[in-house]
Amino acid sequence: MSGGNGTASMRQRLPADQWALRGLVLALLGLFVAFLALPLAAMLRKSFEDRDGAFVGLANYAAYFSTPSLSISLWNSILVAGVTTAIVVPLALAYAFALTRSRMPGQAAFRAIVMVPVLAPSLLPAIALVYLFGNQGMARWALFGHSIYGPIGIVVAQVFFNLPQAVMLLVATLSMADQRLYESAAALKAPRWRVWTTITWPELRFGLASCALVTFVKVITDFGSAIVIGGGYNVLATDIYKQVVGQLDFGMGAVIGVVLMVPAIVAFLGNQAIQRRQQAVLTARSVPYAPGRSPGRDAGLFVFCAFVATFMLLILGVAAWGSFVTYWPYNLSLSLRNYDFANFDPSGWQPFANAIRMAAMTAAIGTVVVFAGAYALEKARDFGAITSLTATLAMMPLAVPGLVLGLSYVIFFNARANPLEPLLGTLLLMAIGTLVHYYTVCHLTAVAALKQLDREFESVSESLKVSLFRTFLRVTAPICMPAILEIASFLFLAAMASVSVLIFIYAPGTRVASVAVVNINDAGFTAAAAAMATCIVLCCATFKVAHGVVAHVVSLRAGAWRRRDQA
Amino acid sequence: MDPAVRIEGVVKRFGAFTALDGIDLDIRAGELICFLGPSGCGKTTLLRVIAGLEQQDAGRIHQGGRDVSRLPTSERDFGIVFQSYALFPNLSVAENIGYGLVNLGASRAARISRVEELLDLIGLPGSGRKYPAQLSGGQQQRVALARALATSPSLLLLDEPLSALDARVRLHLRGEIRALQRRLGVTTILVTHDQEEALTIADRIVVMNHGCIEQVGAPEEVYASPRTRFVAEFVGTMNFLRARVSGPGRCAIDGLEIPCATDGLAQDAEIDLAIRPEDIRVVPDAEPGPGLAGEVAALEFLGAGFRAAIRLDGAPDRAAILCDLARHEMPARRLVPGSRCRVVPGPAAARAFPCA
Repeated sequence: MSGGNGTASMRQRLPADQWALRGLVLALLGLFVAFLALPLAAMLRKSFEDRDGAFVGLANYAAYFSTPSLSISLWNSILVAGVTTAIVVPLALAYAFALTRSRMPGQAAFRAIVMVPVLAPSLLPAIALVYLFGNQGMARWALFGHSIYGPIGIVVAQVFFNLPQAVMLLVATLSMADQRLYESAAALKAPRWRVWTTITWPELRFGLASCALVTFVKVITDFGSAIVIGGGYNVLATDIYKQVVGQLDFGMGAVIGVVLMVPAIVAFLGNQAIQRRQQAVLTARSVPYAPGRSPGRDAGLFVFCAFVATFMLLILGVAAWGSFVTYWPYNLSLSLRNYDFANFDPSGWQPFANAIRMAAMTAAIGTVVVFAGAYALEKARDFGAITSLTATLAMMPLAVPGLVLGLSYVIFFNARANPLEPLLGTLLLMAIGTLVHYYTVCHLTAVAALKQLDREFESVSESLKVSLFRTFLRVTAPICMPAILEIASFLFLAAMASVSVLIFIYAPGTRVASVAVVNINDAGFTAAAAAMATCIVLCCATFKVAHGVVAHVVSLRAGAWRRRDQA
Repeated sequence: MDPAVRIEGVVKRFGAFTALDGIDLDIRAGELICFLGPSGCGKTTLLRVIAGLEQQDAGRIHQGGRDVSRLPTSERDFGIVFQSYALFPNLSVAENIGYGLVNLGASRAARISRVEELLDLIGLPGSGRKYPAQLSGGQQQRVALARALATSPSLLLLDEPLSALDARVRLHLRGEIRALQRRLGVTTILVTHDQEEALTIADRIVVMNHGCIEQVGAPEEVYASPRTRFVAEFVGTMNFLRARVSGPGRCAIDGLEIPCATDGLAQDAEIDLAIRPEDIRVVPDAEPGPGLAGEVAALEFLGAGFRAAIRLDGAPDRAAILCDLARHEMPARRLVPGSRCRVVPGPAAARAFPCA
């Protein structure tokens, strides 16, 4: 070893760009601490306190588990989530298989239809089911005397609501198939069952496990379906709502929140483990799988997909149609009476305007924060511990149910000593909460886009003495524009349709449309609730179409420089 | 004259792995120097340390008499071309080349004329409006070179600039880079793992292995007088024959005495004698004279000549030794696989290395 110079003296002077990147990383870390870590800590603390704020140890937990009416909800939740998962995963697998591994006609249309629920709040399928099978439902006979209010209704609504995500996850898994592996197997004369056990199943199993975990947790933590159609059947998510909004028992609410986080954390860790193992399955240069001809298979899959798509469109259609029926079931003439929201709720159309403002704020702030944050995390040098801590925190929201996040905000921001207290009830805090709740998905999209760029772009611009921020604006952001638009669109739709984060943190003047759906429905005006939900769907659909147009224009303009094989 | 770049005791570690283990090197102004070595030998790391893209754990870098060890990349004076070229895909060729000119304070007209000048220099006049994806690999490589040269840096760093190209394009561009470098007189460091590329293009070669410099020298010197066994093996093709030191400046294989440098080797020490294929003559068995008897194991036609693999008698487990034959020699020798023959090491062509 030569060179007697001390290590400290060798430290390179940090250029201004790097200081700015560190500042960005720290700002992001601050965001996660103030709007994720501290609120959750406050909620955890609350679960050990009584109503007056005195420390009572595990007394709240003891009370929870010894109160049968409360702890039964835990088992109800697990049952409903288990049954839903057992239905959704096979349906999604068959549907995704039809989209990726067959030559079934109409694949593009089927792919679009299955995504329809993404545009809707989770209350919408439940409302549609009330129309169809409720006490005055037109198809009540189909239940043979069973009631739709309860587990049956929750499961059916959840299947509708969770199918898109499950299908997309499995489509992603199935699309990764490498044609060359199947060709090699055919050349080696492997029988079908060996192709399945040695190629298809190893590729698929991680995707299936991931899909099951995600679905299970989404059902357990979802609030919208159960509140509308759960009837007397209590689940964890509705219990929190009743404890906090009904009885103002924040301590007990916090206990249920902590209980609700357990499956979410388990699923999160499980998913991380799965993804680590899955990387070994992927190879760098795969040739996309091209399905062979098989008319019988395609016909069967077409019938199946048509059936599922009909179910999707039927649910959406019934809710929309019901919102125009003047007075179900006595006056079936169509009118806009239910859209005159002032008749049902004193704030009238204001929640809808609030929702658009809040969603626009979430998309605008969120896209900038997510993309600049991901860039800073990728490019900041020698900032190891803080960068990895922040990157870890960016993954955490996946493990925090929206309802729990909202509850933790109420507890944290309500504290008198909190200087951020004035934020409570503002659209800004609601937008931040929505952003934090959906942060991980957006972050991963941004990171994936950034990782596709040549790692040396920054080195080149440094060697040419051009500031990183100029290169970011001239090169990085334009190349990543499709991902940026994707993030903006995702955040807008999520903010419009989400209920769970917001149900606890709105103020009378800042109530948004999705929350208004719950309130109007609670007040017994199912048709008006359906009308408000339909407004949300229309707004989301319009935004989605606009996103498609903008994305198309961007890709046309990029066509000049993008390689044909990348298009 | 001061060296253009002076590297003193540079050490770089990645965790437990030592990538550079005390590198000392002077780079002369205006020369084209190649860092040559197998992957993982530290050659790219050394280049990145010189650029400031990696930070050394110890040691200093001086450039033009100035200590730049602690300066960030943006305050050092060099242009760089990466293996991937890292051209900005959404900017035109002209915008790429002019990317670093914007903050030099040059007027728009001056920038445009500089870009035109560089496009002429790399032989792509009129391609300024194209995008990188519309160019061939070789053309992209030249654009990257022009972008690196645009700000007239005093040092040009090339990180495996040719390895992503087809063999034929590579040969052509190798010559072009050499000619351009001569014309501009810019001090250039080229990192490569291709010993043939290094031999043809460099003024001097730095052979590296395991984070250390094995030898620095002109291509002929490195080829003809490898200082270490690693250099002998890595640069060009080399035969190693087990031999014994039989006296000062001599060694013997099966009684055949061969002259070679034996400094620092004891009498009767077992050594490996390194001989290039072209320094070995193959003669038919019937021809009288000294030599080691053997049998032709394989013959490979290389275009300009043949390469024979010959298995020596009494050495069945040893790898066959390789000998080059000119095409015109073949008819007279009448060699086919299985032919008996003798090999005669050329005079003063062998070097002795202690047994590995």
